[in-house]
This record gives sequence, C-alpha cells and structure tokens, in this order.
Amino acid sequence: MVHYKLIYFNLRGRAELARLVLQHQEIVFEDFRFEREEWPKYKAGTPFGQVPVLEVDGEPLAQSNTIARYLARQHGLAGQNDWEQSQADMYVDCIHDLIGGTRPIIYETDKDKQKEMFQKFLQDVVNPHLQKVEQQLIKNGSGFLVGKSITWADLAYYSFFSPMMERLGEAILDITPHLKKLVAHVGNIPQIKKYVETRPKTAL
Amino acid sequence: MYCKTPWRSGFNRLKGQKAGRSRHTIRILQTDLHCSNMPVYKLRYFNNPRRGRAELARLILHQAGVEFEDIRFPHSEWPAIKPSTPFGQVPVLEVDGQVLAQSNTIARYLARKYGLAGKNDWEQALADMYADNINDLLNAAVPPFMEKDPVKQKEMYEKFMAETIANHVVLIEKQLKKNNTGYLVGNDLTWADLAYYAYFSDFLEVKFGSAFLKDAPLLKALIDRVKALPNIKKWTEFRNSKYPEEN
Repeated sequence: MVHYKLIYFNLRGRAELARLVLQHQEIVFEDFRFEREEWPKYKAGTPFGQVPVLEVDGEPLAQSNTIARYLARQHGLAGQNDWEQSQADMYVDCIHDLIGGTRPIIYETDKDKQKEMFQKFLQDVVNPHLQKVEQQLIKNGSGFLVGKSITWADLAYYSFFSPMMERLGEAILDITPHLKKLVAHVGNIPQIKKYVETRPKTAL
Repeated sequence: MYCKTPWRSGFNRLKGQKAGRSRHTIRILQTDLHCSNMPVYKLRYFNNPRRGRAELARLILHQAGVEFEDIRFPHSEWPAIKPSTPFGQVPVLEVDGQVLAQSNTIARYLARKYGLAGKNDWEQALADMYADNINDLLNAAVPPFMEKDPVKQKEMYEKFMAETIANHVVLIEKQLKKNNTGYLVGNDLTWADLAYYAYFSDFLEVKFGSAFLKDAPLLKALIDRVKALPNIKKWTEFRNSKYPEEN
C-alpha cells in the first residue's frame, strides 16, 4: 500500500482540499503539520520552497491543486472521463482564483480597510462568480458540479464556502440555493462531518 | 489519431464562401471525411495581449499539429462576449460546441489528448506541478506590470527578477539536474517544458535578456531546445510577424 505524507502548516489553507479528498475516500495518510516558527526547518527540503508537499512513498509532489488532483485521480474523485475531469479541473481553478483574491485582504493590517476590501471582493468577484456557478449547477441538473456524482470540485467549493458561511452567516449563499444545498450536502457526508468536527481548529 | 492539415491556410480562405465545385472544395470534402472524428476547436481570447493566458494552449496545439480556430477579439467586443463565457473570463476553448474555461485546464486537456501530458499518472502530476509553478509566476508578474509609475515599476521588476525569478531558477536547475534527461518530466517533451519556454524565454528573455540564465545552463538548454522545435519555430515566426506588439 502506498504511503502518503502530506506536509503543511498547522492550518487548513492550501492543504485542506487534499485532506478532504483523502478523508472522503477514507484513505489513511500522515497529516504532517508544523507551526509557523518551524517553517525555516522544513523549507529547504521542499522542491520549490513551498508547502503543501505530498510525499508518495517518499517522492515529493508540490503545488496544492496538483496534489489534490493526483489524489482525486488515484482514488476515484476526479470525474468519470476526460471531459468530466477537465470540468472538475476548471471549477477547482476558479476556487484557486478566489483563494488568491483573499490574500491581499488577509494581509491588510488596517482593519477598516480590510473590511472594505472584503466587501468589495464579495460584491465584485464572489457574487458574480456564484451566480455563474448556480447557472452551471442548474444546467448540470444532478446537484453536483460535474457529472452525476461527487468530485473533488464539489469538495473545493465546500472547502472555500463552508468556513465563509461560518464566519458571515449562511445567508451569503441565499442567492445560490443549489450551491447552498451542495455545500450542505458535502458537510453532512459522514466521513467529512466527522473529520471537520475533529480536525485542529485553526484561523485559516 | 488526428489529422495533419497542411491545407490549413487554403481552408481558412474558403470559410464563408459558398460551396462550389472548385478544386479547394473537393480537397476539403476529402479531408472532412478523413478527419470526421476530429473535434472542432475554437480558442477565444483577447487580441491584446497577443500571447497572455492563451499562449500555452496555442503552443500545445501547434506542437501537436492540431487544427484550431485561433479567435482573437478586440477589447471593445468583450462586453458582448463576456456573458457567453462560463465564468466571465477568457481564454475559453470550445470543443465541438462544448465550452471549457481556465487557461491551465484548457492546456492540460489538450496536452493529455495529444500525448504531451506525461506517460503515466505520476508524470502527469509532475507536469501539472510545473505548470502550476508557471501560473504562480504569471500571477507574480502582474503587480509590476500594472504599476503606472515608471520609476516604481522599474524597481518592482528589478526586485521581481532578483528575488522571485532568481530563486525559482536555482530550484528548477536543481530539478533538471535530478531528472537528468534534458526535460522537466520523464525523458520526453511535455506541456511543462512548453510552459517554462513560454515564460522564461518568450516573456522574460525577450523582456530582460538572458543574464538571469547565466547560472542555469540546463534551463537555458531546455528553452533553446523548445525554441528550436520545428512546429514551435514555425508558429513563433508566424505569430511574431502577424500579430501586433503587446503593450
């Protein structure tokens, strides 16, 4: 059996999607977490000076979406054919862009400016995207983003929007009832629910 | 199997013309029968930047010798086109009328279809990883690119080259040495090599010269190797003469 070691900060952050893929498929893995102060110790050992890194029988793979995609493909969560796999890739890229959009906001130290930036981000970037995704969900018709069953794309949307709903209230997804239903559905999957209840509680 | 299309330019001239009994029409019908299982690809992007986020897909298609419609529209047409895209962005790739968005997803889809993605799951993941690196570097180049103050911009680009790029070049050189085949992944060309060529040569080398590669002979050799590939050379020469300079 293959040995997986997922190396990241003790945060959800860029590793959480990979963790959700593994947890959903109930794959045993080493969830190696270190505190921020320890980062210099591990940085030099990474391929590109970044984490997360997934070691697969000791061989390193970098880049969060590459790691999650590899695990999704190996363990049946990537989509049923080439086209579906690409659709799933596309949605995960959208979430990647949204995560990128939150970075300047997270790093802003002026609290008032930060609040303003976040409101602008919700209004100008997130809400228009949500409306597009809602249209795609309705068009796909299965309740899932891609094909007829769950893929890592659904986990990516859950991973981004569930913490946001916790922080800002569930009403932020009222404009997108199908997506809201999908996020709730993922949250209620037994192995996801159990993992979320027991995972380390971290700010990001 | 896919079709080589040496008659491409003739075909393009005949689009929009009425069907007739000309020699060209007959050639198209013969080729249509031969290529009837070939998807119809339409790649849509702005006309400026002339490379931008669509170039990797173009390099893959040209390297693989695959026919596609390389649609470039002026920014004035964008408000009309935007609502028809899945997420209000380009590039988009239409494949027999179905639409795929997100530049790396499009590139990966085409790379996989035409043998440029890696020979097994692990190689495909490594190629994905390198493409993601380039995506990060593209994003990192945006702040200096967008800076309006020329003095500040120069400073930002200098910092970008001295830190972000220099650091990455050292790490990539190490990976190339470790792989020891002249390619980033396995022992053959993948879209990862095309992505690194597009960024390090077509963008950085053109803009800043080759000094930043002086301590990276393996990376320099790789981008020179890609530059010299017949299909890439033919495409870049055509592109550089046909499409206007970027801002």
